[in-house]
Amino acid sequence: VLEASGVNSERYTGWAFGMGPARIAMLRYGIPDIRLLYDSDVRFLEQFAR
Amino acid sequence: MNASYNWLRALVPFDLSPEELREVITAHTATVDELVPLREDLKDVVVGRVVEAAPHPNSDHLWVTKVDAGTGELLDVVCGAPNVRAGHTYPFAPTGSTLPGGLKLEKRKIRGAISNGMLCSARELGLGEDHSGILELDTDAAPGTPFLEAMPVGDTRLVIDVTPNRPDLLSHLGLAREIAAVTEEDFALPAISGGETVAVPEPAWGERSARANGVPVELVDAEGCPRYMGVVIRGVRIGPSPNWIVERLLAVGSRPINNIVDATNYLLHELGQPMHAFDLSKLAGPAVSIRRAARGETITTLDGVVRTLDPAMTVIADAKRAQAVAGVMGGQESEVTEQTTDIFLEVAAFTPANVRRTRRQLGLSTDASYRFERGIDVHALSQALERAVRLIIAVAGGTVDGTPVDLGRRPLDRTVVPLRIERVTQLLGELIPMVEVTRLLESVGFSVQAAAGDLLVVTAPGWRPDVHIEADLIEEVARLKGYDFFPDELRPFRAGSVPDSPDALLARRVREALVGEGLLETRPMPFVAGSEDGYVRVANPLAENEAYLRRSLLETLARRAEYNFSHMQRDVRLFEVGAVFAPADGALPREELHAAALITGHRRPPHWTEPTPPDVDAWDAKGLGETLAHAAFPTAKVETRPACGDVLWDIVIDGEARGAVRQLSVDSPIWAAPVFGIELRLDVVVSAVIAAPGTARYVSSAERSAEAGHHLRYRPLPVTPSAEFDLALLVPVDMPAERVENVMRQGGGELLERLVLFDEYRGEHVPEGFRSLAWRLTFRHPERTLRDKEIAGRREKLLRTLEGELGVRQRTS
Repeated sequence: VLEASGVNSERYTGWAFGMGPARIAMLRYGIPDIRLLYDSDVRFLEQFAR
Repeated sequence: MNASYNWLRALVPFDLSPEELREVITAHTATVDELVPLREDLKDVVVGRVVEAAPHPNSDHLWVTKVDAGTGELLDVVCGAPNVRAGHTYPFAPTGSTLPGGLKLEKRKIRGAISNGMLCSARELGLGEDHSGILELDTDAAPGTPFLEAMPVGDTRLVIDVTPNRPDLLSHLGLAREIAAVTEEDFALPAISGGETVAVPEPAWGERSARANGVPVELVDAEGCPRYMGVVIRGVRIGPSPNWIVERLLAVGSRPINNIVDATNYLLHELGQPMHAFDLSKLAGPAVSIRRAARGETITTLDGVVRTLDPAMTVIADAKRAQAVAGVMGGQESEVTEQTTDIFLEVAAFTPANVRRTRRQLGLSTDASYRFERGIDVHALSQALERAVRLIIAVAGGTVDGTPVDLGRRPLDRTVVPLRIERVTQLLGELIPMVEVTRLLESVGFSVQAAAGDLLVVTAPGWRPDVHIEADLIEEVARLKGYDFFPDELRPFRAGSVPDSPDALLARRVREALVGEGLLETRPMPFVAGSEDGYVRVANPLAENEAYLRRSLLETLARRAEYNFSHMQRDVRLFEVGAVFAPADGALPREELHAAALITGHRRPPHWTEPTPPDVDAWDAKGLGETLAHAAFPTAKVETRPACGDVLWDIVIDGEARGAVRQLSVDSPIWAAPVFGIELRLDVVVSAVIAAPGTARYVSSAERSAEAGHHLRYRPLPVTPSAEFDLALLVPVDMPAERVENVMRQGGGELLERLVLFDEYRGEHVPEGFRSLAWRLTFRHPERTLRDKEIAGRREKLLRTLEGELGVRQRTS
């Protein structure tokens, strides 16, 4: 991955991962359906307003 | 990929339950997605304890027993077994359950005594042949416990997610090797009873051709087939397979067909080597050639479908025509049937890319093609052939005719990779001694030679086509050691030296400002019901009625407002920072980053001091638009200019029109308030090749501090008193107040400190087409007190200028 991106893998190392922020949010907040994050229901959004 | 727990246990003597085995495989090798208990047909059977046993009054070989099956009361059960004893536990099938074989248990009278269910023998449960007595259980499980839970009986299928880089794990041998390495046991292929004494002659090698006794085999397509082995077995008898093969095949989800086909299938799952048996009498010649198909050549495959081939596909052919699609599926004509007596067995390796192309072209996918595509162990072919011959002769009889053939270029390639020990420590973060590295690699089949200094020269085994570079070996060391071995550490966060991109900073400012205004951020899907005219169509939309990419954020926010209305929500305050798309000349659409807000409903939440606050109106929207624009472009000149049509105001940044405030028409219920929307273009997103390191379009720290350097400067507080007066003016309805103010500012001169519009009045005493606007003007001289006389003069002058330049007069009533 590093070499293909033009980074010298002898000098640098690192981590690569694919992550779904929406899914992590579902785990953290206990949201059962991913679509809730995209519905724009104000009753849902208000729960996360600070 | 399905694996059988019992089958693995036959290869490696591990002491692990299926759950424990799952943990071990998942931790070191591949994720076990599921454990499927087989023998679900025994799910109704429970553990039963015989509390009392007495001879049946009306029979000399029956017993009447009282059984505790965990139901709370003792059951009367009649039992015919000689070995039933009080105090012992046995499998108990209660009334209502069905045994394998179909026997349904019902409450019955047996020779006058009631029987509620049955104590079972091994044979009745399908667990073996023993029917001499009931199956005595050696378990601590309480009466009533399901039999499958208490006893490790029945096989468990492991459903393993094998990644494409590990074709060696597509067989029980490959998995056994891994399990053995991790559990530090030995693994071995089980002996084939009836096959171990079979003598298999040394194969005759030829790079292009060889003879298996009377059958010439020719490798024409060397590019599609790196190694081809075959052998003639004569005098086989086709019939059903022995139970042990049937059980193994069923455990992995395959169905038995006949002994020869099942044997090849068995070896595919055991060794990972697909094989094919041809009915020799159906091969023209007989001769075998491995060649490319001719254009338009057809074959009827085993599934009965006639397929047209092309010259990119490799086939196994006889003297006249194609008899199998190499690596994918055999032909119907030469398939092994009940009448077959002589077979030609093929054990070969086919080039992965070719097999993949061929099977995709034909729309076929088989257990065989799956393995060929990912790569099989070319080096292991001769052992596989030898085992196949033993197995076939053991289950179907027959003898080898002549010698097997072995075609293909030699020597076969081996991958050799150097490994630096200090690199292991560098990448993994923990020191692992050379001795340990060597042990771990050798445990899974690598051969390791020490070289000068801290270097190891490692040769990869034939079944590991995925190992190419040093890092691959280091990964082997890490996973076999166990990832738990490596300590985890939370290090303090060190911010990078690369500054955040300007669009990220901009978006953050916008978000903070709008959240501060009490709006909720939302991220809807960017798909709308567009049209071919001016919208970009999505090739595979989620919904046909929303198959286009949006051109504006307000399009989606308006639909989201409707969504909220449909859920009886009247107060909707949403904003979004997101992308919009327009068709462009190139392959990719033109993408812009926009910010948008939508408000409707109450201006403030209802409160007991104000049960019905006013609804938001156009002025709220205008104010919000200005807030948004200032947040996005803090150093620029922001103007809101009245516009026409459905746009209420244009938002102009440094002279460029970049956004609008509008009233939206949405599908509103009767109780909904007017809906207002603001949209502002933030930036154009450049779709381009990823920038090489060091060339990204980032703001340098020097530029950033310059931008932030627009400080306020303190202005001294006034020490002299002010003089003020109000002006109420009749202003035409279509003349913006701003215009009047600009004239007043100019005319007011330096001493005009403040100008505040504090009232708008329409109605009585104000002519049609006009409104009365009232301003308070505050004058102040920094050094001395202004006198009313001086101000009076200025007042008159202002009124004259206003009338002269704008035709605006003072309101007199």
